Amino acid sequence: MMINLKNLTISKARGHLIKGDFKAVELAQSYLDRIEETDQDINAYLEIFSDVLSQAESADRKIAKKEGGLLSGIPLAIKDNILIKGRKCSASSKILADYVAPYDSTVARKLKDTGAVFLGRTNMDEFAMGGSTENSAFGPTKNPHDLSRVPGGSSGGSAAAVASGEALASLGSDTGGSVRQPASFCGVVGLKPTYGSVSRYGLIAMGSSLDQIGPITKTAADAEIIFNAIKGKDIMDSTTIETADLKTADSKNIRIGVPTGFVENEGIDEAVLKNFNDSLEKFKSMGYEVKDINLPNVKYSLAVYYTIMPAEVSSNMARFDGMRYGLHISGKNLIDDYFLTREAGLGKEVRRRIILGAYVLSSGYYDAYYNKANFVRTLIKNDYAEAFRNVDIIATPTAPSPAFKIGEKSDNPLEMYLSDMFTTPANIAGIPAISLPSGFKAGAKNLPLGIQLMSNYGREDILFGAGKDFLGE
Amino acid sequence: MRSAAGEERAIRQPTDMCVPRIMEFRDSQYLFMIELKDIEKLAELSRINVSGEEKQAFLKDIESILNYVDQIKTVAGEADMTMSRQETELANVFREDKDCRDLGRFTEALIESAPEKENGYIKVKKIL
Repeated sequence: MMINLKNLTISKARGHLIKGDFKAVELAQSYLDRIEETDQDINAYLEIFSDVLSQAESADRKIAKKEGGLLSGIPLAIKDNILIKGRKCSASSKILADYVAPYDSTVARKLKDTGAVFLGRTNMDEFAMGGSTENSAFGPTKNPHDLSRVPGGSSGGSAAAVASGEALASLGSDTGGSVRQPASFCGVVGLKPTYGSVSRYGLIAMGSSLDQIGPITKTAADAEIIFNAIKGKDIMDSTTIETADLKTADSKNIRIGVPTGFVENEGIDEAVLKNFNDSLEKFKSMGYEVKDINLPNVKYSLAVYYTIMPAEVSSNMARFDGMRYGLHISGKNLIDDYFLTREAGLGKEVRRRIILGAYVLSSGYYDAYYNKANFVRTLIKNDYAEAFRNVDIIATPTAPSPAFKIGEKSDNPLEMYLSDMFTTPANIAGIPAISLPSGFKAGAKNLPLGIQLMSNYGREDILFGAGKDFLGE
Repeated sequence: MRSAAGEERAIRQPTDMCVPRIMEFRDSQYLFMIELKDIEKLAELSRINVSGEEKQAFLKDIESILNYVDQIKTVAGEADMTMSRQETELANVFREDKDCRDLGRFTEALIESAPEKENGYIKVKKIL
């Protein structure tokens, strides 16, 4: 049967599946058909799994027995840095091109338990390093709204898949904005959960004190469903925390703080600023209070991020030496093996960040850079803690511009990094943040824009509540 | 050290990788030089080859990035570790070192991907 994918959400799909309007197999087939139709142009997927329909059959059996959960039979796309046992996982890198995961990540295991269907693995910037998915070793993904533009990154494939109807929802990972920024560029919802609320076991590590797996979805309600399915303390990840049952936010008296001095800077596109202010008006008309706040140290977030993150990257990338898994190039001796393997397997951006990280951690500079950055990080955390005594939500645009053209920023890394200016603070502080589609910049093709809402640790409920209000769900 | 005009000049300590250089502050802009041989040394430490052309590109990129992140130095305060760690929030999450799982339970799955293996061991070239 012809299933209308366009208006489908996870809740609606579940309703149809329970009522028997269609089966999980038919739903999965609809997505496979859609992927066949459009993914040649978009390149969101690196691989469509060959057993999608048999996964869906298992889901149908679960549903018939009234087992499984809210995500039974729901077709998801998974970012290529999240391990699923027995399947390839490459972090869009040549050094892991044929690597097969020997175990399930915790999030994959949880989703399997509920009966979700994995459609395939999505394209990303190599090892999650980038803001455009142009750093993939396997070619860029295109923005479904304008194929000459980037979908954002590093979870560009995941965002493009949801935006183009090639998946009902997807998982991405966010270290400095990699779920939220592509969600904004592609006109969908993206959540970076509280640090520690979702296990990183089985997530290929980039910046261990910054990484979080998060859902990319069409609605805030869908993001909530996936977050609830994947969150939880995990003995396999010692940085996870207890996630108390979600409070239901009081939808009256929600105060939104805007760090106006930080938002209104010369790097921001006029259309973005106008759309942001219009969005704030929309919240006001719904009864939210909007006020100005000051976050004195947040302007250093990007500098702190680009000190701490490369340091952690250089550590985390050391394991890719060709000895235990992945690409292995043989040289004249052992050390030669390392050099040849890493040269052939690691892309330019990855190598640039490794070298930068080695610099900030090296003797003589460790105090000036890395230690100082950690100190400033605490100041930023304190700024947010202080602000959340007076507001419930802090809002900024998600990105200073809409999606840029493919190739436009790839020659200038610093310029590319500046597009993370609004998203990195949430990773630095560890607080949850959601990007909501907020409109478009008009033009030859209308380009999606996003508003970012942040809340205090563990208060994703406030974000979901505001998101549902804003999107009229 | 302060000159009459109030400018600061800081002298970096010698490191194992480059000769001491002086950082100059102009207005609020920090200018300093990282050299090609620093890139080479860092690449060597990271076990990465960089080609001649790439070396120059990396030098330029990294210099501009360092120029940008340098602004954290203007943030007042000392990087005192006790200040930057909330001691009361930290807890020991290590488990007791006992009741370990059976030896070899995951060996096969884990070394499955190794390019060379023998008798349950990963095989590599001589380490000298």
